[in-house]
Amino acid sequence: MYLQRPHAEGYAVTGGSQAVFPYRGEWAGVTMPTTPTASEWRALIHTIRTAPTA
Amino acid sequence: MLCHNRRELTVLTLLAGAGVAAALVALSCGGAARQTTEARITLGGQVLDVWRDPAGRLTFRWEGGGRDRTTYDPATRTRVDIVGGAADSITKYASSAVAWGALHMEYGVTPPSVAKALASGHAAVAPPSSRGRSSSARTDYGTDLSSLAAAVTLSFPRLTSLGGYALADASSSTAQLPGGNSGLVVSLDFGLDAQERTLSISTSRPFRRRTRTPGARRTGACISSARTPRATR
Repeated sequence: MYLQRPHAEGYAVTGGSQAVFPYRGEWAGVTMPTTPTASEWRALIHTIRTAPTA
Repeated sequence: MLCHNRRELTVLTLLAGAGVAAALVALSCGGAARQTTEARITLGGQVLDVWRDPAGRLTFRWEGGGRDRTTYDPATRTRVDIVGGAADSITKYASSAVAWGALHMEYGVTPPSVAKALASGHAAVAPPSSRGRSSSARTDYGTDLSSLAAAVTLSFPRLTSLGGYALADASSSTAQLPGGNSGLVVSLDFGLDAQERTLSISTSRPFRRRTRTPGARRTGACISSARTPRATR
């Protein structure tokens, strides 16, 4: 399964339950136990991107 | 009365801590033994075979588990999961507590229970060592994000919960993939039930250009190992 190019909102979803997106010069991936909706993905990724970094 | 109870609680806590410490010492002192010791522990109707070799390394195998087993070296806090006789993954734990927490999750054992079982064990032949080398190496930090941050150069979100699930485990790893090295991967797992409630985040250094191949992208062990075209960045 190839990844799709991230769309305008900055992330790509594969298989419904995995997403990949640019993160501070690296790449981050999220695997969910469910298949989030587009708005749920956006909220989740926003949470990750805006969290304090370590 | 409250003060008295607190004192009793403190004493009990100290005694419990001393017991665990004694078990850890007993396990680590197994290195002084001259032969491998084998013991059996029954857990919920299942039988777990435990070995301690002359170097103090422990091996755990469920009865009927064939060549699948786990070795754990208390001296280096290193665990090797062996599948079909071959090393499948190597994990180094940031602390003994995290290591035993993981072993307890999988095998239901604690340092005292293992020490007690081995104390009444018998001499045995050590199980065969694993074949080959693992393609992945991982360091587990439990929920200690500060230690993880101190050990890696990657930026990662300092999240203690995500989507309503608490942070369960933080780790760094590297893996050898058909297309090359995955680079450093930081993983954060949220939720206690790995089957239903685990969320994970990984950040990774991308493949070096010369190692990027379509095959590597397809077979990446971690989704974050894959990458989209650089032109989109």
